[in-house]
Formats: sequence, C-alpha cells, structure tokens
Amino acid sequence: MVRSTADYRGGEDDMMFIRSFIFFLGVLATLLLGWAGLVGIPNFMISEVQAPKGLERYTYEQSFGRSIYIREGCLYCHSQQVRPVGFGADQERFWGRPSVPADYVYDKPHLLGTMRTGPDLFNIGARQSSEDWHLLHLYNPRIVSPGSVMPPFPWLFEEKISAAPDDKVIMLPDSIAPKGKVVVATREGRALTAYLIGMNHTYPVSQVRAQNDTTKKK
Amino acid sequence: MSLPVAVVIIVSIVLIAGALALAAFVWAVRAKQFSIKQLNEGAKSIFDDEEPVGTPQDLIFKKSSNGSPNHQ
Amino acid sequence: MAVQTTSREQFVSFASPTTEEVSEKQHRVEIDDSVTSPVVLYFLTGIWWLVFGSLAGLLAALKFNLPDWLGGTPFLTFGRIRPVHLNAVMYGWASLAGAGMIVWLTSRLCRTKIEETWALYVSAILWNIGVAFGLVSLFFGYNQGMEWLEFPKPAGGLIALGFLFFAYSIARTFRQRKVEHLYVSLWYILASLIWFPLLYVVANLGIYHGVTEAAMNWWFGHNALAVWFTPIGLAGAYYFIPKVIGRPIYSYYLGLLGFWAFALFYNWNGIHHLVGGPLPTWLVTVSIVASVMMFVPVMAVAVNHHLTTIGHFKMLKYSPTLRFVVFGSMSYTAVSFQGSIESLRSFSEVAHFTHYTIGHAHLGVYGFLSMILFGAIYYIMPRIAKWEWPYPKLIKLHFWMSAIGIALYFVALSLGGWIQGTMMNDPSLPFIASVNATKPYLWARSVGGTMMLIGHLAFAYQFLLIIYRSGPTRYVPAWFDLRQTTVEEKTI
Repeated sequence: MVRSTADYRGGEDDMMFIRSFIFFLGVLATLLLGWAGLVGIPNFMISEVQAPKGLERYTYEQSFGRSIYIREGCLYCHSQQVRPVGFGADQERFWGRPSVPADYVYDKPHLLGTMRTGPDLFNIGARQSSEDWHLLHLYNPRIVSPGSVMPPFPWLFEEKISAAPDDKVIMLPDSIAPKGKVVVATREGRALTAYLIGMNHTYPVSQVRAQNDTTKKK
Repeated sequence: MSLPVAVVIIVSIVLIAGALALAAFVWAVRAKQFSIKQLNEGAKSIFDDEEPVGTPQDLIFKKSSNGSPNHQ
Repeated sequence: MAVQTTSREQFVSFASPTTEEVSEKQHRVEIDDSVTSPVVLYFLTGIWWLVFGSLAGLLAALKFNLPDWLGGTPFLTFGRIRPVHLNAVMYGWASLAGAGMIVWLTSRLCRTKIEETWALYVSAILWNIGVAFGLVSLFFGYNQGMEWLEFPKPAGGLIALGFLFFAYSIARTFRQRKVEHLYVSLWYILASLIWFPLLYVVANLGIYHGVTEAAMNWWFGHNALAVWFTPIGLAGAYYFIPKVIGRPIYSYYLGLLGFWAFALFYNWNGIHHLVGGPLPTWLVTVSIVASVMMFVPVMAVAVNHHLTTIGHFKMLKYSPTLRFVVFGSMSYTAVSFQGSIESLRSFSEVAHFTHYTIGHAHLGVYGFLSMILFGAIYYIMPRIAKWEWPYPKLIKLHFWMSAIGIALYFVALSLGGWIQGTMMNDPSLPFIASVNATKPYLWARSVGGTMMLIGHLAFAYQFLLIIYRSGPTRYVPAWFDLRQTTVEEKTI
C-alpha cells in the first residue's frame, strides 16, 4: 500500500495535516517571538532616543574614513563600546564614560565589535588626536607601538619624488624610509585618520543609564 | 515606548504563547500522539529488514577473514 | 545477532512489471541512485570551500604572529582574509555539505526518491556563485560591516534564492514520503527549512540602525547557528549514531522534549554576544537566561547520544563515521555547557573580547558540526558512489589530524584568551601586555590549524578518488552484490 499524501485517506490524513500545521506554526512562532523580543521591542524603545547634544553627525570626510575602516576590517580587532563602571577595566584605562544607545544614533552599520586584539576605539580621538601619530601607526603600527600585531596599511600612502603643497608627508624612521622619495598620505589615509580623531564621545549624557551602571543616577 | 509598557507587552506575549504551547501539548496527549509504543516505533523507524536492529553498519576498519570490510 | 522484524506497514511495496515484490534493499538502492548526482555536487563544492576556507583561516591565523608577512598586499590583509575565512567555511563548506547530507537523509528517512532534482542543481549553482561572488567582493573590501552578514546584498540574494530551490525539492520529496512516522532528524531538517530563509531575509532588510542593528546582528548571528547549522549537526548525529551502532536512540521521548526546548530557548540567545554593551540591561539578561536554559535541550540530546553509545565504544575502532560523529556529539555537549557558563556576566567580564570566544566558536562549528559532516560524508559516499573508500589509512589520518588539531586549537585559545582577558582587566598592566601574552598561544593555534588543513587535504584527495572510482580495487563488498545481480550489471 503506497502511502503518500497524494492518497487521501480521510481522518488519518486530516490528523496528519493538523499535526503538520501545528509543527509549522510552532516553529514559526519560536523564531518570530525571538525576533520580537530581541529586536522588535527594543527597536520601539530605542527609536525614541535622540542624539545627545555633544554628538555631531559625521562629516563627509569622516564618513569616507568610516567606510575605509569597514573595508579594511578594523572591526575584527577593535571594539567601539565602553563598558560600565565595575565591569572590566575600561574605566580604569580611561577609555571614556560608559557608552549608551544614544551615542550610536548616527552609526550605520554599527561597529560595536567583538574583539579587543587592539584597544577600544570609541574615544580614541580624545586619547590620541595627533594626525601624524595615526598616519605613522597606520603605515606600520610597530613604528609607534612595539609588539603590536596590527597589520600595516601601506596602500593608504604613496611614494612621491616631491610633495605637493597640500600633501601630508609622514616622517618615517630612517630604517624604513624609502631613499630619495617622500611618503605622503592618500586621501583614504587622511579620511580614515579624520574618522579616528573624530571618535570622541566624552560629552556628557544624562537621559539613559548605561547597563550595569552602579553609580548614582544623576 | 517606556520600559513598563514593554514589560507588559513581553509578559503578555510570553503568557499567551505559553498557554498555546500548553494547549498544543494537551491536545497531542489527548489525541494519542504519545503512546510508548509509538515512541518506540519512532526510534526504530530507521531500521528495516535489511539493516535490522542489532546490526552495526559501516565497520570499514574491521577486516573479516577474507580481507573485505565488514559491511553487513 | 538479534534480528528484529519491524512492522511491514512502514514500508512500501511497489508492483514491478513482473509483479515481484521489490525488496527493501533494492528500494533503498533506487533511492540512493536518485540522490547521487546532486549530493555529490553539494559535497564536492562544499569540500572545495573547506580547503579554500582552511587556507584562508591559516593565513589569517599566521598573521597574528607575523603581521608584516605579505603586508603590502591589500587583498591579503587580516581584516579582509578573516571574513573570507568565516564566510567560506560557513556559507560554503558547512552549508553545502549540510545540504548534501540533508538531501540524502531526507530521501532515506522518507523512503522515497528525491523529487525535483533539477531544483537541487539550480540551488547548488546559485549558492556557489553567491558564495564565490561574495568572497571576491570581500577580497576587494566590499563588506556590509557586520559579522556573519558581510556579503554584499547581491551575493546574499543568490544564496537565499539557492536555498529556496533547495527547500522546494526537500518539501516536494517530503510530500511523497512513504513512512507513517517522521524520524527526529526530519524535525530538525524541516524546522531549519522554515527558519533559515525567514531569518536571512529579515536580517538583510536593512531597516535597522544604531544599537538596535547590533541587537539584530547578533540575533541573526546566533540564530544562524540555532536554526541552520546546529539542526544540521543534530539531524546527522541522531541518525548516524543509532544507525551505525545498530541500536535505536536511547529515549525518543527525550528527543521530542529536546526539540521543542531547543526551538524555544535557542532563539533568544543572541544578545549574549553584547554583554556589557550599550543595550538595555533587561535585554542582555533575557539572553543570558535563555543561554543557561539551553542546559535543558542540550542535556536531552546528550543523554540520547551518549547513552546510546555507551557499551559500544568498541565500534569506534571499526567505524570511521562513528568516530567522527561521536566526537562531534561530545563536542556539542561540551561547547553548549561552555556557552551557557560563558554567557554569565561574571564569566563574560573576562572572556568577552578575547580569543576565548574564538576557541568556543570553533569547538562548535568544527568540533561539533564539521566533524559530524565528515562522518556523514564517509557514510554516504560509498552508498551512492558504489565504491569503497580506497585508502582507510587516509581516513584515519584525517580523523586524527582533525581531532588533535581542534583540541590543540581549543585549548590554546581558551587558555590564551583567559589570560588575555585577565590582563586586560588589570589596569596596572599596559594594554600591550595582554597582546604579548597571547602570542605563544596563537602559534599553538596555528599548529592546530595546520593539522586540520592536512586532514582536509587528505579528505579532499580521497573524495576525488572515490567519485572517480580510483584507487586499488581491493575487494567488492558484500552488499554491492544486489546491485549487480538484480539490476543491470555495471562495470565497477
């Protein structure tokens, strides 16, 4: 006796249909409820959050730099979220006040990150605002940061015989500087640096308390 | 949406979903989906006359006396 | 050897032209024949991405210790190779090999030929083009900027479309099933067919921003494991362990409980990737609770898989499939328990942002999922290629390289990551100290990764041998006899 759903057999196949339907609904419900709880409802709550007074929109150059950050995969080694007081040593390392949802309203895509092979960058602009330092660091991190495992990004620079008036020249150590040429940052290198230096979220926020914040509410 | 409102919504969803799940479970038990016989048959459904219960498969590394692998 | 006859009502008898009853064995041979080409296509392309992805992974790993190596080539910078590795092994290897296993398993468990085979070919082609296009894009730096969702939308679209064709064929096959009862593996398979397309589309809608997008990112990332990758592994383990041993699964009732608990809790885990992050506390807590609740379905699966195996460990000596699958099922238990603990805030405070999480991830997708896929392929291929694995010693090499490789990988990154996290949380130490401390562990990880790559090369080589029916013809196994006597004789 061939039993496929092509042969309708009355009550038993109705039961089969009901069972399939319940299975289908149950499976669907588990996924959609999970989405609703983890994404949908938080979205409703957080969408009302306004940008804080101290947070500016990204300038054109910073946006361009942000796209370079994504292109080179910086997010795979750097985070952009400062943990609260008493959770990790972010505060003791002066990485900034704990970050809050409002800090990220202009961020698309988010770049929160999941690894700290390198330090958190959310307030790197406040810690290190020298364009020269960042350009040297990007050219080869080990120039300014011995022991670093960060990749070098020489393609964000170009070698020229002589620099044009508005070129940004970087002063490399003699051991690696090319003879008879100057090394100049490309537009991409300068944009990425502008983005990094612009990462400064030290302005105060009062509306939203960071997760796990044990300090007194303002 | 404030936190209390969100909490109310989530708790309601969870309670309703839980009630539906419980109803489905009760229905399944009532409709005799859960007899021990059926469950045992379910477990055995991957076996048949050619690969019956008690017959291991895929003993590639085991050499039988004529050197061929012991596929049963 | 106790032979237990099962109810004949569970099987179909065809009326052949000579009105002879076709035996179950012949029926099974016909079913296997119907799936041969698409399954081989899925496995072949999957294994290609395994080798490619392993090379990318090794390159990425070595760059931690040799950051200036090939440092002048933008295509090979860590930030591009790392997503190439992840996407190649997940959307390439694991997904395609998993799809091949699902096709074979579905037709076996439904006891019917695979339907709409053309859809499987279309699916495989679209999927592979999607993956290839996506990876090339990543080399050139086109990256959507979110982990697990890096592929540009056209590549993702091709993958989603390919999946729909695949699901269509499986659904049509399922409709023609000749069995009364659906075995537990089929529940996981069918659920994943409903879940995954929805998940992928909802995640790629592009309507999110800010921290909500981060919540969506990790709802997706963890759910990809929950609704696609883990069900593949569990479907395989639930079938191959009892099948190879020859005993039914220990407690089918637990399997039922385990499935629904799995469906319920796993969907809420995602935000444990953002513990300590800029999100509402309740949201993170919900995911931590769900992560701990995973003990329930994981225990159900563990009891089933491990208690079925107990008393039969001797078979591990003889069956390559059982070795791989039991290793995989033990890894599942271990990685899941680890994950539940890892999600707790006190643990996460140290381990988050470190290599510890990378070790955990690989115990899951390699120690659990990939090892089960290896076992599945070793079981399935002789039955559809009608050829034995030519060199059993190569299988052993593959197994030990993979097993020791992942063990070394996991131990190295767990230890190194924990040390890294502890030092990171000690403000008296400069940040660079946490980086320097990990270097020897990262070397060890590269050694483990190299071993895994060697295993994969042995595997890929022998896979090519078996599909071309090469290698020394040492023997003709007994169960091939039927094919030769009752159906047209083919030269082997």
